[in-house]
Amino acid sequence: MLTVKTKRLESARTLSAAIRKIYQEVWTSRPLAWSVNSSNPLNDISRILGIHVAYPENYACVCTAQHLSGKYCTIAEAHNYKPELCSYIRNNFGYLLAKDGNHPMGGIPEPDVLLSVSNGCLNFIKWFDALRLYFDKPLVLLNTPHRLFEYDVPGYYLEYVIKELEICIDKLEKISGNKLTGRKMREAAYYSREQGKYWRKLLELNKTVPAPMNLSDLANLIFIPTSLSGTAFGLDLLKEAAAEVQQRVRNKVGAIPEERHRLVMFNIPPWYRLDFVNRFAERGCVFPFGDYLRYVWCTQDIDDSDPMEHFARKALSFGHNGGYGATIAETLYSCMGDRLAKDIKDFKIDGAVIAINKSCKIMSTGGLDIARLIREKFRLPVLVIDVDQADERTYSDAEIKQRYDAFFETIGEA
Amino acid sequence: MTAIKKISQIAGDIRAYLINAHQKSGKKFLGVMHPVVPQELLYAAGLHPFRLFPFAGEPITAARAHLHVDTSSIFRAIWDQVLKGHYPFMEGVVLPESCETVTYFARGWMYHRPDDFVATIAGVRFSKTPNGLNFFSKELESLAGTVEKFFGTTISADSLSHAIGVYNKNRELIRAVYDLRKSESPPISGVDALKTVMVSHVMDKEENNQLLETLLKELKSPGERPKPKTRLMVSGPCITDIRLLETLEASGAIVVTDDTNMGSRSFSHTVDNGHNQFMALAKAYEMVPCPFSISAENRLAYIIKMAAEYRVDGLVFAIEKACESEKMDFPYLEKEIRTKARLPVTFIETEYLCDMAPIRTRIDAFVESLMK
Ligand code: SF4
Ligand code: SF4
Repeated sequence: MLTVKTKRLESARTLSAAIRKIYQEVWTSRPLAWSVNSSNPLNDISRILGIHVAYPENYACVCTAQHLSGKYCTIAEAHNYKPELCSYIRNNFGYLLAKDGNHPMGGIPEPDVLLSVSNGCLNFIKWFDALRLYFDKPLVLLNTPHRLFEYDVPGYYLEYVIKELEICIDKLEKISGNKLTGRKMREAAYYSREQGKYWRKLLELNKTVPAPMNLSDLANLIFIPTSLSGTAFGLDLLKEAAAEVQQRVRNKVGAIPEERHRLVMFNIPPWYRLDFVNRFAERGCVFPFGDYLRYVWCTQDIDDSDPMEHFARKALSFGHNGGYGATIAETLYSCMGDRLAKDIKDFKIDGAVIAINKSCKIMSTGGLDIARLIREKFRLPVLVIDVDQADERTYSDAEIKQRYDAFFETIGEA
Repeated sequence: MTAIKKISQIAGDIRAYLINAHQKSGKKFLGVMHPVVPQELLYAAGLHPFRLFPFAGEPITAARAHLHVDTSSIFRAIWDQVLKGHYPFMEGVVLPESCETVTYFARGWMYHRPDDFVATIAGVRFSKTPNGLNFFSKELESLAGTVEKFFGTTISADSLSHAIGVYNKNRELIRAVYDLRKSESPPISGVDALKTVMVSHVMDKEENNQLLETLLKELKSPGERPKPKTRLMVSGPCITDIRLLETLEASGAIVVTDDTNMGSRSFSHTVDNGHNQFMALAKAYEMVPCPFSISAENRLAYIIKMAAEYRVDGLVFAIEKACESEKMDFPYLEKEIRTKARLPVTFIETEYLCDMAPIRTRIDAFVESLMK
């Protein structure tokens, strides 16, 4: 029985209520798009055009938190979606193929259009291509090539993505029957940029000791820049969170009662065991940041004076790459240099938890190298765990507990 | 020695062949992953590009420290052998934006081997607009520039034209070998066809063209060729394991064609050898039918057309365990191929050094069902 709880942000409650409302509204909102939780300008633009957006990836997290993902994965596997596919995808097809109709938050209605972007994992394209065939609905895909080893976005990349964005906008205008206005685009770009600023501000505030937020707060709040990007509503929610966190900093209120260790988490947490942050909190451990919260989203300030360029750049450079931004493909390796060293120092990190996640190759490739680097270069204790973010069937409480216990012993918290 | 004997000999010890070829040619050797890399550019730079695949029979040990077990075993095995020094002749790699493991580990390669030449190229995934083509052509030009700079060489229009000619010829010859397999009594087994393509992936292309010409003559010469009981097609990613083809054919079937990265996907295109060379390369390579590059629907059309041309009785999906892009297309392809092409389909999961016994049982049952 866990006694120590993370002190949840009030603004996180507001956000939860807002998310519930969004899930209710999608049932009466048409046209409806399904999209990916990535730096996807098509989401911002669709909303301006009056197309509502729902996220099967996020819905998979909802199902997982309610311990239904195992059931959905089993159903999907019976339909040839093999167990090695990302559990979000299996969750999604299992949900679609389930016969009982008894789904968390009532489910998400069928889409009129599918939106995707290729700046994340390859599944963003393959999964949405499969959904296109499943629903026989159009897929609007923004191809945003992965760029490795170069710091700034090459001119021809930018030119290419801007033109592709124009092609996508044309399709979305036809689907929605609305025209995109310059004013609305400018507004969306402004909100998108401002949200980025507030997100980075929140992370800066979490350098404070004691940390005002734990990993679970950040994991909730990231819904805003990923899924409500480009909206005034999202910006207001982030501002509210920032004010509350600022207040905590002023009053020296920490997210957990007695902070003794500050850990960095790599990879996506197992959404079906979110109490894992509380297990760590019980031993005085807080997570002031995680890689996918720090190096994947809104890592840089992108000028919004030209909205098309803002969105194209954002799609091409939302992740970290030596301070210049990148697509997600190089995030783990590129943060291993000065950036991680600086963050370990600034966030006063004294240990790491690294999840190797069978589902998410993009977030796991490099994980073993990071573990070694943190152990050898920074001489910090590291816990490596094998956990899938959404397939609870692969999780063994007993085994993970043993690993946790061994780690707690190492940091003097047995 | 007959051409097929020479091919078998090289295929029997590809590593020894590469070491020897490197010593003889004095060229710089570059490893390449996947059919989406226009090797013509590297060849034109005076390099010897070769397709990376793991040498047979060596358990993965060293790579475990860097790549976790849920990544591609094919790529892990390659990386393992690189770490163990089995590629002393290799100066670097071109790792394109392609499957998950290759795309995301490009940076890891650089991290561990900073002295290697490591280049990537972005692809135009799915969305094949004229804008995309233009972009891809620029990306290839950029790759050419990177190669020139690193190796201190020049890729002239003439050398590129020569390279395109050599590679077109190579693809044409392999297609001619494949074409012979359309006959009622194919003159070459699936095992030998795989060896032929594997060898073509590592050999100097001009030398390989000569070998293929001799092979074609041999295959066209009259002789007793039994009519196979069952004709199979294999679909899957980087199939490099000769044992797999041996297992399929031990069942009494013959593999007459394939849809794989090593096989037909590498040879189906021809590059226009005209003025705008980068654009011509971009046009040819953007449609290479790999699942990370084109949609499942386009793949279906490719597979169904090929199955009809080769009068295939059954299709075996042989998919590497961790190959997510192939697995993502499988449910759709399986259903459509069964219903639209009315072709029986089976699925087997493969891994580098996997146990062939369960695969044998499954294939025997499948082939038996086809013979009924
Ligand atoms: S593989 Fe990773 S990034 Fe891709 S959908 Fe799954 S969890 Fe998200
Ligand atoms: S088998 Fe699949 S995952 Fe492995 S290297 Fe080939 S394409 Fe990539």
